[in-house]
Amino acid sequence: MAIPTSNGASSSSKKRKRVAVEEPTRRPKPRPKDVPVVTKAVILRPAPKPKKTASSPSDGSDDDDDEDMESGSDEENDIAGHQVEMLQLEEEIINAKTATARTKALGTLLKKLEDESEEVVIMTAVGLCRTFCRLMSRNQLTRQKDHSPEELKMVKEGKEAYINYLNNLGSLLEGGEGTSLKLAMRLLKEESIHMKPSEDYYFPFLTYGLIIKYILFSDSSDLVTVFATEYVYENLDLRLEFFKAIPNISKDVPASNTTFSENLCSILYELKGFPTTSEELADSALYISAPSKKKHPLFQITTHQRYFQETWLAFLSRPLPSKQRDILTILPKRIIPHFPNPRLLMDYLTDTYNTGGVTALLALQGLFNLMMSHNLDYPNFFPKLYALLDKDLMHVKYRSRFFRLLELFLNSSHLPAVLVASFVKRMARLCLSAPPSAIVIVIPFAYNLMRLHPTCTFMLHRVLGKEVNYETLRKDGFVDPFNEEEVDPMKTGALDSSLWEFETLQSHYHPNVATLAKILSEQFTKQQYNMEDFLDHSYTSMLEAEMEKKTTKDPVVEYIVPKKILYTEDKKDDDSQLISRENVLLDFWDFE
Amino acid sequence: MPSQLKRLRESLKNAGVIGQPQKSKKAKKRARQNKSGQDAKLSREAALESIREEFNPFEIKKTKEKFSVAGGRKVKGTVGKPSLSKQIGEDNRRKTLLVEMQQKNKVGGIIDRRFGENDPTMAPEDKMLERFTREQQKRSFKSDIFNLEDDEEILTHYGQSLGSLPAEDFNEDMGSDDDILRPAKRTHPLDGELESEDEQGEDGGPPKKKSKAEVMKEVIMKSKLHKYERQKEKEADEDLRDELDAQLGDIRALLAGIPARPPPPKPAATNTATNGAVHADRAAQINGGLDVDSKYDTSVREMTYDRRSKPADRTKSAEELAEQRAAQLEKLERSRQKRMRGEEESSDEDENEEGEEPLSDDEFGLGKGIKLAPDEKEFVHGDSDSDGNGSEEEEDSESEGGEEQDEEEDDIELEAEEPSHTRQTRRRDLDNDDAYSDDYQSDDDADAIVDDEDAEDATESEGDDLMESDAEPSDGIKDATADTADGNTALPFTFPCPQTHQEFLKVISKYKIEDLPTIVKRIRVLHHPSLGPDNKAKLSNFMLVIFDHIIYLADLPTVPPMNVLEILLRHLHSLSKEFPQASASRFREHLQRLFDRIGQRKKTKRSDLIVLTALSFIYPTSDHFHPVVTPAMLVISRWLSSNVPTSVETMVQGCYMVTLCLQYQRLSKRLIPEALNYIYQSLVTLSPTSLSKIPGSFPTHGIESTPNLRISGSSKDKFELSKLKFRETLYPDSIPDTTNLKVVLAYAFIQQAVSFARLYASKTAFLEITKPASVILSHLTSPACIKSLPKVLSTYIKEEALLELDQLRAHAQKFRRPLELHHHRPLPIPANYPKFDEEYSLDRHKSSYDPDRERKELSKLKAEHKKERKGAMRELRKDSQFIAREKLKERKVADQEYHDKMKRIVSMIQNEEGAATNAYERERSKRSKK
Repeated sequence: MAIPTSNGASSSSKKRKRVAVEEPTRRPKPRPKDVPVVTKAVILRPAPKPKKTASSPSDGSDDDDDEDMESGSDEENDIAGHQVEMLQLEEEIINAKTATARTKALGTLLKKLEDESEEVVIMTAVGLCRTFCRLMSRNQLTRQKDHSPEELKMVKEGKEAYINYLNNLGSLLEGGEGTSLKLAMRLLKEESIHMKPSEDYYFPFLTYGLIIKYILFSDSSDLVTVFATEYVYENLDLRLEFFKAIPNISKDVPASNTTFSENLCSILYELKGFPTTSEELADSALYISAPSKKKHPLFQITTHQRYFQETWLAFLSRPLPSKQRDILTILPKRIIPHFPNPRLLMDYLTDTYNTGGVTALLALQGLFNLMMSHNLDYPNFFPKLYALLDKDLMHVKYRSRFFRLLELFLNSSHLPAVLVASFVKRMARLCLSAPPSAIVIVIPFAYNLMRLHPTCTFMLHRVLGKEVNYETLRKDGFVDPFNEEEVDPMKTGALDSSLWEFETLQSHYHPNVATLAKILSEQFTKQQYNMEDFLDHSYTSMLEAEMEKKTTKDPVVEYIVPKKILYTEDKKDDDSQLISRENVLLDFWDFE
Repeated sequence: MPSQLKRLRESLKNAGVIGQPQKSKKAKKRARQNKSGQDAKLSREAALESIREEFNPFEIKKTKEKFSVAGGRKVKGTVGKPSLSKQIGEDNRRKTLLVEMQQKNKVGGIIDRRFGENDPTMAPEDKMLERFTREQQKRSFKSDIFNLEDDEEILTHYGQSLGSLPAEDFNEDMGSDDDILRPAKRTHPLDGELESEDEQGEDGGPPKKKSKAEVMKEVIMKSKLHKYERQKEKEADEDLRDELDAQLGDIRALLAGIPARPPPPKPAATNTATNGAVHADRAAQINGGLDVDSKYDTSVREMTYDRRSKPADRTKSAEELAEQRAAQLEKLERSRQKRMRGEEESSDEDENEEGEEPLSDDEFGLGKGIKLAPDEKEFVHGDSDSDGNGSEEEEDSESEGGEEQDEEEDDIELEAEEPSHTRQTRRRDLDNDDAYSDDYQSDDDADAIVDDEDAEDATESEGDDLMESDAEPSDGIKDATADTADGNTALPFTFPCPQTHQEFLKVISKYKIEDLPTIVKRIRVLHHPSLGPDNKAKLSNFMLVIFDHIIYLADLPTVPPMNVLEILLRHLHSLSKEFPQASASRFREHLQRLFDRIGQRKKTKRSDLIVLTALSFIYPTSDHFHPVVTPAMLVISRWLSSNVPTSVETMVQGCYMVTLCLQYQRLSKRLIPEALNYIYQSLVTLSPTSLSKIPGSFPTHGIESTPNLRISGSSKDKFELSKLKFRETLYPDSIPDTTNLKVVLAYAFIQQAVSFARLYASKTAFLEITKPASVILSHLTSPACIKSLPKVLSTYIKEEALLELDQLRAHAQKFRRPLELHHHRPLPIPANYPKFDEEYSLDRHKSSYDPDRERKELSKLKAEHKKERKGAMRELRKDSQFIAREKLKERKVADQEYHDKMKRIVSMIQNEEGAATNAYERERSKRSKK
């Protein structure tokens, strides 16, 4: 890794803007070590005194440290000693005249980062951050034209130490250390200000890429969320650079690394409100100072979309079965619209669709979007759709979503009746083991389909003609021509079958379902049923409807009080025969 | 069209002015008689006038139509007689408005009612003559009235002498002297000869020769005779009554002697007791005593309050009873079926009205007259079929009567207790059967159903319900009788009616759980609705307490005695019959809570199972819709679909739920997909080896990975096929060895699958429904599975379950036909012909063709209003014009008068002046001459 160097004379002459640092209100760690707020005052202090540097009034961390010291025991003395030592080293580094002195001091500090005590590590990291910031502001990390060879050496070695430091920070990040995130982002900002090679706008993407990589490898989901919510979602530039970085990083990470994939997923999944126009971009917050050019790619929606798409594609190419359903649910609404070229999703969707089950159900909508608006030609669509009507369909919660789509697909009157009949018959079969809320969807749907395809009503009413051999019919009955196992809806023979299932459902235990099933044996006078009225029922809604019914009449109570409830009757007399209400309970249960 | 002249002639002729109308002589004569010359003249003039007006062309005004419209449209107001209508209006105003005007600001006045004043046909001379004669007549009547000299004149009223009239009438008429001034036509009794003559004519009876005095005498005689007769009759009556009074004692003794109809106890007692005394009293009366009458009156009054004896119902023969009972059951069944089909309840209710079903109302409604306490009814009822122990019961009744007056709670309790006791002993005597209580119950049931026509029996049946429960064969429960018989008084007879479960727990905490049914029964008897106005509310609360207690008992960690639980359930049932609303809402509340618990994946309690079981008995589960059963079904099916058989525990509960499904649908045979799914899922889970391909469409999510639930025994295991044991399987501490339980569960599920198959045998989709069952069962009989199943079970599957299932399936296949659901009459194509109205007329306003009825009415009303308004405005305007005109006329007249007067005065003065001047002149000339 090499930080780009240039002579950049202009940068030194240019008056540096004062960077207003906003302290993030939320602290990622339970015991926060505040990031030293590197204000201008601190940086430009000409001769900082060893002890007082840290206890400047603007530095909130000092108080915390004091408190720690008071409450602690021996270790605190240790820490205090460390601090004194560190501050001395810092001064040495900044004021060092020779490369060796500086490198030596830096080396000792860096070594301290490997200390076992967490507090020492963090303190050192904070101190180093401060040091590097000061070095950056003094242009001692960038090569200048007027540098002497000794100075050049100092710059070179300083840079090496910096990179070393960054990597150390990264490993801290990987461990889920909250303060390190702040330090890293702080450095990022300083870098963007002081290490500009030439132009007015510079984003230190290499550092950023490093940070992202380490964050995504971390086990701490808290850190990931903080990074996402406080930096990536909030700031336009960070988001764009994030998208730019991901495809490259993802390339190097093996597909088997699930931590990486899950972290990435959680960041991407929670990303909401992605802008759709360039105007929206102009209003967004930026982390580092904005480029002066209005037409900068940062403010072009197309740039954002391009990298968004690349990121998603890179992400989707990684296998992540556990999150697949979540991704598929947000795909049509939150992802496809932002893709410049949604067709690139085709492979992904086809693959998921082919897996079958609920996943396929969810992929269906995305696929449908592509077919409708992006000219996707999907061979064997209907057989695959037919295969989706499996035994779990009626019981899953996505069922209404599926039926909404299915209604769309089958709504065309140009479909062959054979195909529609297969779908209807299959749905009827499934109804025999479905909850009432699902049956309630299927029946009006079947009704609507039969209105559209009157040929299908033969499934409800078929008078056998001469072609039937009545002898065999009398002997063996009518053999159902429907083949349940057939996967091709064009060949199931459903059209020649009958919908006995619906007829049976007319005696469903729930009165509303039974009544609804009766519409199929009534005359088809209604044009269409509005499916939306039936889609979102559940046991709860049905029970609520029952409970809300107010009955003025007294509910009927069984007139005869049975003599035995939990026992068999000893003696059968005439009355019990007359009553003839056998107690089924006692056939299976023994209450003795 | 005839010429003007001809028409004139015609009309003149019609009016009878010219020519000789063809009339018979008689008619002419009559006409002449009718019309005096004056009349004829008048009418002729009037006729001429009208004809003149008719033929006056200047009177008629015509408006020329500019465009004539095809279709002969009538336009109003083209021809009119403005002057005539104006004249009519003017006349009307003169009659009304002018009069009003003249009367304005004037108070009082004299209305001229002189004879003939308003009759224009009378000549003044005639008027005068008429008035004169009237005056003369009046004067002559007046003299008659006050002519006291005449003896023979008697004042009468309607022919009756005033002396015989009642005093009040007479007084009233005394003030009528001033009536003389009234118009002569008024008929008045004092009006004199004309009237009296008329009356005599009307009487028609006596010949005219008789004088008035004679007639009067006769009348007086007659009335005196009548009066005398009446007096005589009265005296005879009184004699007779006295005689009867004297004999009353004997008659009473006779009445008391009739054995068939026992006299109401009280009066009989008093009467027989005082039998001898009556005679004494009578003697006292004869001697002039007075006290007896009042005594007699009081006794009579008491008798009116006595209960009227009713013909007792004929004791019905056994066949009749059975028949009646069968009819009743049939009726119940019919109404149940109707509800099952989901038909309207109204027809049901009709049936109820005509039948004797609506027990629920009569059972506790106190509407029908004075009610008896249950004990008394018991007595009455017993009396009707009194045979051996009649006398004993009479004694009972007497003592009860006494106790009743005391009205102490203890006594009521005792009474309630005792009759049942006697009845039971009697029953026991009658049939020396060990299971007497059963018979007894069934009889009572019959009573309950058959006899509930009248309210009394309704409560009786109620009481029987109560007794049923304590007549259980189980030892702990027979206590009610046993207790009293043994004199064991450990249980008090009175309990307060607990209103909350806490209270109840406090009450029963002292007693053994076996005494619970007795306590409940006693509370119910003690607070029977007929015993107090607020008992109804109390009992209703008590029912909820029982409900809570059932839940409490079921959730106890130890097994409660099931018979106690059962009796509580039955109490709950019979109380639910009384308070259907309250119990239904309680059940629904519990269901809602259970449902929420299922949603939160909380454990299902035993009490939930018991409540659902109770529900299946208390409510008709076959109804198409029922406010309690329908939610219960939803709750059960939600339970079944959200609890996948993943442990033995849930499987046991699931098995119970499936049993409940079978129980609920045992009559209506409705499809419950969830129950079938559960059975199949459980069987798949339990099967020793996994199925190669899971048949059917039941969800298999969550049951794939439960290998520890598979039955892993061996065919050599000893095993006995048995029912599931409630107390062993549902109480967690005592779950037996699981292998055995799993086999029992598998057995139960297979049985249930077969039961469902039997239930659904007539469904058209039977093959599809039972296909998984058949596949799974054949899988269980495969060699791989048979190894690890007990021999008994595998033989059961092979030889019974699978066999029956296959038979049913074969049968269903044989009778399977394509659906023919749409044998409807083809719908007529709606035809829209243009509407053509034959009666259409241009004259009718277009709004009258408005199809919208209401709008039409409204526009009609509006038009009318507008018309009226215009008319009223016009009238008002004309009125004011008329008034102005009249005022002007008045002014003119007044002015004229004034001018004339002034003129006259001026001329008079001038005359005088002139005369004076002349005189002066003359005087001057005379003087100058001098």
